[in-house]
Amino acid sequence: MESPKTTPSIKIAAVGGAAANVLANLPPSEISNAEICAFDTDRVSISMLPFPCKLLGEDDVGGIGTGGDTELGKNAALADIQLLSDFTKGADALIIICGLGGGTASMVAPMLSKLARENGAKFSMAFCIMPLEMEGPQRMELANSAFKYLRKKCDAALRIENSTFSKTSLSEAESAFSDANKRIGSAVLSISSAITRSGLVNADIATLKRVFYDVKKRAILAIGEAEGNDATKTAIENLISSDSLKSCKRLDSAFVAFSCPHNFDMTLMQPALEAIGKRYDLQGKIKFSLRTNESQDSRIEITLLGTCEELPEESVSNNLSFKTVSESNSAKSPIEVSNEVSTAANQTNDTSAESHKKKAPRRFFSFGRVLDEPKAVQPSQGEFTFVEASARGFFSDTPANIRNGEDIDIPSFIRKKLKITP
Amino acid sequence: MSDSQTIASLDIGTYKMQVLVGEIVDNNSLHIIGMGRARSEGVKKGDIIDIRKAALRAQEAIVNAEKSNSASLKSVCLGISGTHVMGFRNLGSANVSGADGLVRKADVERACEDARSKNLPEGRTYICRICCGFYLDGQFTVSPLGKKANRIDAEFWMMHGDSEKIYDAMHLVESFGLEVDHLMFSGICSAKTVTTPVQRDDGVVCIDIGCGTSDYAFYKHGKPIQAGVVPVGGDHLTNDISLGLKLSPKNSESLKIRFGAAAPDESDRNKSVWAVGDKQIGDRKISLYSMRKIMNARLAELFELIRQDLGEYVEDGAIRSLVLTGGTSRIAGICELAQEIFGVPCSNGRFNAAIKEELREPEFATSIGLLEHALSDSLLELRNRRKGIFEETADIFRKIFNR
Repeated sequence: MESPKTTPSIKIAAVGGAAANVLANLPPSEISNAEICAFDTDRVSISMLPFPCKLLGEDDVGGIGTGGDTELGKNAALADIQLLSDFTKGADALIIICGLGGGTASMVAPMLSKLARENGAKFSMAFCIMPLEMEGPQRMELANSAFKYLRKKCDAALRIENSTFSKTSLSEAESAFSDANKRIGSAVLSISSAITRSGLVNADIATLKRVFYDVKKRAILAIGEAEGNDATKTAIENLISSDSLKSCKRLDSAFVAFSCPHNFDMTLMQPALEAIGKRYDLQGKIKFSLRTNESQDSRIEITLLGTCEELPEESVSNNLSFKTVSESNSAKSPIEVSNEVSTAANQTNDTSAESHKKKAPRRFFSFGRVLDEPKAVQPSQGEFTFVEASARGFFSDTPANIRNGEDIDIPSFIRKKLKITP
Repeated sequence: MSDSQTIASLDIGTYKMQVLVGEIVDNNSLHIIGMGRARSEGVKKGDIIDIRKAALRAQEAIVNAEKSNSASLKSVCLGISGTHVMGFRNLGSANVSGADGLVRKADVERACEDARSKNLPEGRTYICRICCGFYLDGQFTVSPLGKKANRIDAEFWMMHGDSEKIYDAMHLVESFGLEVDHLMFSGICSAKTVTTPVQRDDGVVCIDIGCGTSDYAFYKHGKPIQAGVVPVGGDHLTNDISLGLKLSPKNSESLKIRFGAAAPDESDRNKSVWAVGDKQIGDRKISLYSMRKIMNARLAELFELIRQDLGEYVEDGAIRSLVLTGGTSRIAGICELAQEIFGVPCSNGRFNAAIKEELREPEFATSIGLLEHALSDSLLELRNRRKGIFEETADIFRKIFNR
């Protein structure tokens, strides 16, 4: 499926079981313009895919997965490093989809990002599906350190909380996860079709680079969809009220991808873009693309990729939908589950086998030259209570000025709770 | 006039960019011969946030300065301040090597080197390392040379800042083909200009309240002991007023200048002033009491923060007086407020009588201080160079006659 030389070459790598499940939900007909490959150490998870697949480290692992063992994952990746390197060669843009926290993706995805950079990819992006909180702090820690590495090496690393999607979706595990997979898949599609110019309104790689120009900013992904009458409006509302955008008052840049049916009314786009621009104070820093989807219904999907200031991570509360997941998983054997249920299933599968010793976090990514070894995971920034940007007025575009746990850019009389009568 | 050399200082401030050009006459005195100013842009809280805008403005100031004395500048002494500046205390020690137990120059140098050589974490760069004094077997002294001791400790106040921000400021200067020959923390410079030697010996804290930051420096025994930045300045007052009274920043700024005061007075309670002053539609009356209350809250907090930073020195009573300078120190009643919080007498900074009348404004304190710093450094260099030759000759004679 080599794309012609005239269009930029875009490659999509799905690493690990969770990512394979995302691919499984993609209709192959829609991604004819990108080169896709799935990498995993588990033969079962990739065997059913309608895309080219590569089994990593067959000699070391034996094709049965790593069971959350990062050492095993690393060895597998090193054994087949040529394979990974060949894949990244010649790619103008590389999109990595990975479910972090397990043994394979947490090791292979960072390696791919590094190889892509070395092989001259102009744009790289990682969709990182984070483990559920209930999977334990160890997996979370591993996922976090892998994510931090990806964030450094990629132009954009999107952190997708598994829970963000399942919370808003149906409580039944299977549909919740396949729904989540579909959404991630459609976000990937929107980007790849925008770059390869197969959509109606497209963006080039430079545009995407522009959106994610500041690596210190947090990249966010939000999706809103709706169908029926007034679909655009409802989709925008859904987008704004989605979990990833809820905590966000202001975006620094945004890329909005519309996926709509053939009979979409173009005049609806401008108010939609304006609404987003106004809501997040974007001041014209908003790019968009448009593509038609294959489905015949009137479903509209709006994907927003953007950057905003780093905020303290929200603690994710577990609720109903997760319970169902864990219960349904525990009843089945791991292999069965990974075939049927998607993302979390694969991760839970790893968790059940997770008995590996704790390793020093420094050693995780010490492949290749030692020079590139990432620094020890630094403690996250001091958290502060988020105040509306308006309270900082003139200083709203400068970093917080923390003294004694208070942001002293906020007027003293507000913090001292003095009453002012104008 | 035997020998003259021009030196220049650049102060990248939040409100203004200021260049002063001085001439060293006869290797000991300084004449200020040129000045260039420009309204600053792209700088907030002392940090350069938009290097392009800041560069344009700095260039304007430099060109103005060059015009004013029709000379081209080669190098400048750059003042650094901003949210990223921090300081810490460091001790370095050395054993006294001489058999007679008298402290020699080499011992002092070794102790200083030990104190100065502390490594900073990645991404930080030293702005200046100031020697605060020495301890001879634990006993404090300013001049240890020739005294008897077993061990000498050098005490340093090390000021460092974010490397990127410092390089930004330096690139800004270097992009005009100028060199940065001195880097100095602004607060220490302005303190030296507006305090008297007696005050510095006794123990004085000088607070330079500018537009974006407040830089303070504590001098005792004639040496700077501690210095730092609290990123609060006049902009914060304006912003507070604008948010509290729902006025535009421009109106708040002019209200602050016209009617601002550091503390509300009971007699202000029923007074009100016009927000814009043109009494047209949209103009409204503003309670003077509210405005001053807002300013009081901010300034009191600023002094509290500096008091916290100085911690032990305030409690010890080492601080004998307080001097305020910088544009924001023009606010009425600010000295009384500072006096109340620190519990020591406070005054506005006064300049040396040698400085021209038109330069004796609190806004100039940093620039003049930078020039004086550059002067003392280049003099020191000169003297050292000369001493080198003299001492060599002296050594030769000593060898001939002693032996």
